[in-house]
Amino acid sequence: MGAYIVRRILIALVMLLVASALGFGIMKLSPGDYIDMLKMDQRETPESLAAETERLGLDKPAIVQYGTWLWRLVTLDLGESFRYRKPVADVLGERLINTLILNVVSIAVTWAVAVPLGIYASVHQYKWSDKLLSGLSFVGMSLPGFFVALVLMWIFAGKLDVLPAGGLYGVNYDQLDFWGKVGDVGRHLIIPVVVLAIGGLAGLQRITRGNMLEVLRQQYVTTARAKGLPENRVIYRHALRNAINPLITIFGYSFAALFSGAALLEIILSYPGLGQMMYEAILAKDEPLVMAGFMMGAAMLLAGNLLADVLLAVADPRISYH
Amino acid sequence: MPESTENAPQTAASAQKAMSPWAMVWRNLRRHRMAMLAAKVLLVMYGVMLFDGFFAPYYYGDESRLHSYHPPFNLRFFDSEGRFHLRPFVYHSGYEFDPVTMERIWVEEDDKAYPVQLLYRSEKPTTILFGLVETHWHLFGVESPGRLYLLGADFMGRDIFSRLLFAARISLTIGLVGTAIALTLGLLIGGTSGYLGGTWDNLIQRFCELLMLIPGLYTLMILYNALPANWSSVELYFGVVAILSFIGWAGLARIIRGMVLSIKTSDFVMAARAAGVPTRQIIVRHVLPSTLSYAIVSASLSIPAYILGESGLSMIGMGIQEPVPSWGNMLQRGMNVTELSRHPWLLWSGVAIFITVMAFNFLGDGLRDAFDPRTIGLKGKKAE
Amino acid sequence: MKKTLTLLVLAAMGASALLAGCDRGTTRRSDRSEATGEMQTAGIAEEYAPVAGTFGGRMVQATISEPKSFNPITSSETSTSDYTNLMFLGLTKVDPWTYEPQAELATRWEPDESGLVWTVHLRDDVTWSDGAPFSADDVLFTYDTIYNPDIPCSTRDIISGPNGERWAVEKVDAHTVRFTLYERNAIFPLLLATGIVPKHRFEPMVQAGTFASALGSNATARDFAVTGPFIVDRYDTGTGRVFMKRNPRYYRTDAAGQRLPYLDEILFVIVKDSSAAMLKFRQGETDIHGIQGSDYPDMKPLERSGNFTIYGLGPAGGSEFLFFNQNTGRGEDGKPYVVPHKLAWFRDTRFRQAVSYAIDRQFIVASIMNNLGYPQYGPMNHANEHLYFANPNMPRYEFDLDKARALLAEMGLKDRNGDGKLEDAAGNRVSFTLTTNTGNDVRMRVAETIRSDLERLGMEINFRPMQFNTLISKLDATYDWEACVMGLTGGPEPHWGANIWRSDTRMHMWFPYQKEPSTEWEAEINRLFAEGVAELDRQKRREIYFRWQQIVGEQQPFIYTAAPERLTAIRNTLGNVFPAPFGTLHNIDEVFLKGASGPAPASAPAGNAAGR
Repeated sequence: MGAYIVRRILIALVMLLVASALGFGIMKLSPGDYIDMLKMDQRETPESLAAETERLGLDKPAIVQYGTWLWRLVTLDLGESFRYRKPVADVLGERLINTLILNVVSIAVTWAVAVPLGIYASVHQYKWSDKLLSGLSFVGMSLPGFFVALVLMWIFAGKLDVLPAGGLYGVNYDQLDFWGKVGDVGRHLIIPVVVLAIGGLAGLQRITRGNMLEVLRQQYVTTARAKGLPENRVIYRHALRNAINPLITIFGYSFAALFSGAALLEIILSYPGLGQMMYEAILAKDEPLVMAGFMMGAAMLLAGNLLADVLLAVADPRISYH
Repeated sequence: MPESTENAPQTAASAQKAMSPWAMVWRNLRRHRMAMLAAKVLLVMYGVMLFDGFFAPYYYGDESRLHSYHPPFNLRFFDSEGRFHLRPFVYHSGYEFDPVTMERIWVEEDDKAYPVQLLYRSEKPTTILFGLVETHWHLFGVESPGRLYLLGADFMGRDIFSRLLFAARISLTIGLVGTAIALTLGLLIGGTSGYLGGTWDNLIQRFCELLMLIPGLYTLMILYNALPANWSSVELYFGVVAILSFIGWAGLARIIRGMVLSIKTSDFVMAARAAGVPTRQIIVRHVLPSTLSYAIVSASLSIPAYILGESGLSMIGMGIQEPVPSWGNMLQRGMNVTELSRHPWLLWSGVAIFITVMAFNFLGDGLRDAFDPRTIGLKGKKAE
Repeated sequence: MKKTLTLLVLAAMGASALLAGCDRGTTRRSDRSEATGEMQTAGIAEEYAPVAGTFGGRMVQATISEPKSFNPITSSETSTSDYTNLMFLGLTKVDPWTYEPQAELATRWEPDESGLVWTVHLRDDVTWSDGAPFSADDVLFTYDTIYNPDIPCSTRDIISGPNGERWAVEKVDAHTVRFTLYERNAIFPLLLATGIVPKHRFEPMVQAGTFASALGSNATARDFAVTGPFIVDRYDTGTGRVFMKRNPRYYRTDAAGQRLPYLDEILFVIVKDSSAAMLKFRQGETDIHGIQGSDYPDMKPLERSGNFTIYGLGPAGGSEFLFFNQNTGRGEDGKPYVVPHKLAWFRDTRFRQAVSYAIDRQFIVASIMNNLGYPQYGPMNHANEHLYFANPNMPRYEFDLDKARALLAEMGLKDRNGDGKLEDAAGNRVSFTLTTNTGNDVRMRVAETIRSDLERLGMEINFRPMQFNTLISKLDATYDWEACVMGLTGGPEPHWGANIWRSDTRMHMWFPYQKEPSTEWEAEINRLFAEGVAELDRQKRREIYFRWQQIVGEQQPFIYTAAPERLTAIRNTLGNVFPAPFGTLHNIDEVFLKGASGPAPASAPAGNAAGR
């Protein structure tokens, strides 16, 4: 197994290399470059544009640009963002934190709501409340996130004026004390977290319910009941612990997705996270930033795949690896 | 509420022997009330889509600039004197600007009423069956210059209800076409990969992984921009579908490959191979049919992803372009909060997307249960 | 089937209930209208009477573009100059009421008889924010840096001749500078408004070769020394805000002798779009906001409860316009950029005039700008009385489909086979691709309106908006486009537009980089711009630029649509607000926060308590 993992990591590195070339190629496929963004400014002249092109290295052939980029990467330098004129790592870092905040909070909310609801539904199987919950979970699963976001924005920001319309920080953020800051960020997180939670809640609630039902059918539960243990004790002491176990794997996966921004949502809500950053970087053709985002996404995915395969191998001995 | 089939009576087991697997699936599906309801909703929607021009009072490009942003629900049963009319009508209306606030004030001229006519014949032609057939007939409509705005108008005074129906041409088909392409690719490539194994499998899998490594939305954005600028809206449509399925097939191929891998080691394939059946035949005759049930379920569950994908792309301005409506590009203006709070009827297409996605989810759920090997024996060998 | 219908009906009802809440209703007047009176307009110079303010406080403003750099030499975008203009004063500044040059770091400037040699006298009481004195050396250094070929700078081209001629800048004494021009320049005093940068701080960077990429978005107050009222403290890219703090050594004082500026801090908050900016203003978070016409009905009724005033400052300088590709060139593969039969239409004056007649400018004003805009027919809006150089007698193309059809028929474009579509004599359908850039809502809608207008004429339009840089690379490099909707900001000084109207320039978008003007009228425009800049008599310049607008009006290379009203909402808590035609908060150093009661900061002349 150890050798297998080492081999997979080596393969992953090769994959990353090829992916970076592919990503770079795709990026160069669409016409236009960063300099074009400057061209509608009347004050820019052919000379100033040429000088900027040269400064950014955009005058060289694509293959040379790729080589330069790759060499920098090997020396752990992600380059400088065209738009922000500061190191890519700095830009990435700030956005990463914001995306992390959003994802951690929404995962926490999702779990805090979905697992109890799932348990509740399983204990009340086929009662009206269970049916209502599973109906709602279908509605939640089918609600397009962007639509929910628009509706919430319209109602709470446009009409009622009680929640901020996008962003993550209020204007006076820098003047607030610690709890004021937490409250301010919290207010801004409400809409995006609700949208993400609605999307995630439904599935998780169903899985929890399913697991719980499975466990409740097991022999030891029946035995426990037969022994005359109180129903509460049976459910919460014995059944629950076993029903939660499979969920932990899911929990692991959802953390693997921590760093990938919910791009469309971030764009719509102008949330200053990774997704929005990538969107803007692509629009502006800020190539160092786009490539860094690409590589980070790819690395996370590779790590996730590796993890999944290893788990699968552990779980299913029928699948053999050579 | 979705009716779970988990409690399908085991007594049916004896009857199963007499039925073909497909009949059993159908029987199971029929038992799934919500799935059947969803199927009917979808049937209605696709039916309306085929004859969109007939059901819509106006052609999608039919504008009336004096009715820019006309509010919805202008159908009246009571006239200005409070008298009830069995046949609904609309008043001729127009707007003026409040001199101070520049608010649009809509004024209905109550001496000019235009009753709604069933089977109305319009001056201007409209089209049905994806624009292949031209017609002048509408299910209902009002005489010009009266304008019927069931769901309001956009900034050019185009009827949002009509555009919603025409937009279905894009939004309801993009899922089917996209899924068909992705599924074909996924089945062929994933099936081959899983069956052949070894170096080929390795190469194909690495290639799939490579495609999946590059984040989807960004690839979509970049590829969309690489589409030729002079493409017409039809070409653009296929361009968008192609891009969406280009992103989608790799994941499907990987899962199918995994299934094929385990089917390959199953008894009946082993037996076929021992009997000397050619590889291609084994794939086509045995392996693929076994994965078909999975394919159907995953298809119906992946259709929403295409609908949402197109909507998302269109919302950020990278999809089907005006004047051709799609549910996504109709939502585009709604991204502006102030615009939204002034003209919330721009959100209608989101409701349409929601209903469609929900219907496909219910149907997919029902199909999954109906195909479940625990209730029927389609994939029998694996499921003991 | 019954259930299906029930579900559909239920869904529809639910959704209607949701959406009905916002039906503005017909025949119902807005019941929350508490607005009174007419809109405030720009004041006049005579009413400008600043009072003694109170010190302290922070002004907050939302902005849509994020600054890429704070380098006043290398960056010229407004996203940078919004900040650098507050930091680096020029020798002159523009008078916000008349657009005439006004004294800033220079006290006076005078030409010799030839008009080529100008002597500029500098203030001797100015210090940089780090305490170093400001002198003629800084002026010399600034122009040296602008002319430095290793540093990209867009100002360089404006003050260089076609053959690389330069201005000679000499130091006469510590506070006198002599400029020797290569040719007479009517706008020389305006050009002196270029920000002067600190030699003692920037020279080491120039010598080290790092200046071109210095002062990026991670610059802080330590990196600058400024003469202006405010200095960039830091740019927090994570939360998207730029802090500017008071320069305690700013040279101006108020009537009471207290050192300006009054405000402690200006905070710029970067937001996604104008509607986000508007919500921030409505929720009381920002103090000033440029309103879009479509938001006006939401804002006007809130004036009193929100404690702000909306000023209508006349037509905005910019307008969206349509233009056709008139490029006669061929690509490297020998294929013409534009299909020849289409090029023939696009280069035909009658075609462009017909298109101009077909554009429903009233609808654009009414529907897109919510009736707060002005039709526009040329590069300078005739409705703006403050524009000295605007030709009031420009040809106007009021909406007239008959005239449009007649012009098209004259050039042989008519419906020849009864299908309702236009064909030319050779039977080619009049069809082309119309493009614009995505991401600009107003522009998109103007383009959609134009598409529909032209289809009414029987043209076949393929509408294809694209990303900004994709579009620009077509306009600027590959030339494979046909018709395009764009917008440019315009100003009151026609010569700023020279690099658009001269036929050899990059921004001459309908046919850029022409070696020789391809038409007689383009040649004449070239001549007019050369004459205009050399003519020192204002009245004569005006006639020259009238002629230019006349030609543009006839030829319609850019088919202008409409200019929105410039609307600004300003919180009433700000004092000394005197919006002028050419600057809203032009006297930012005198603006103060009412109720701020901070004492005059220590660096203010001693003995002066803050005016209370």
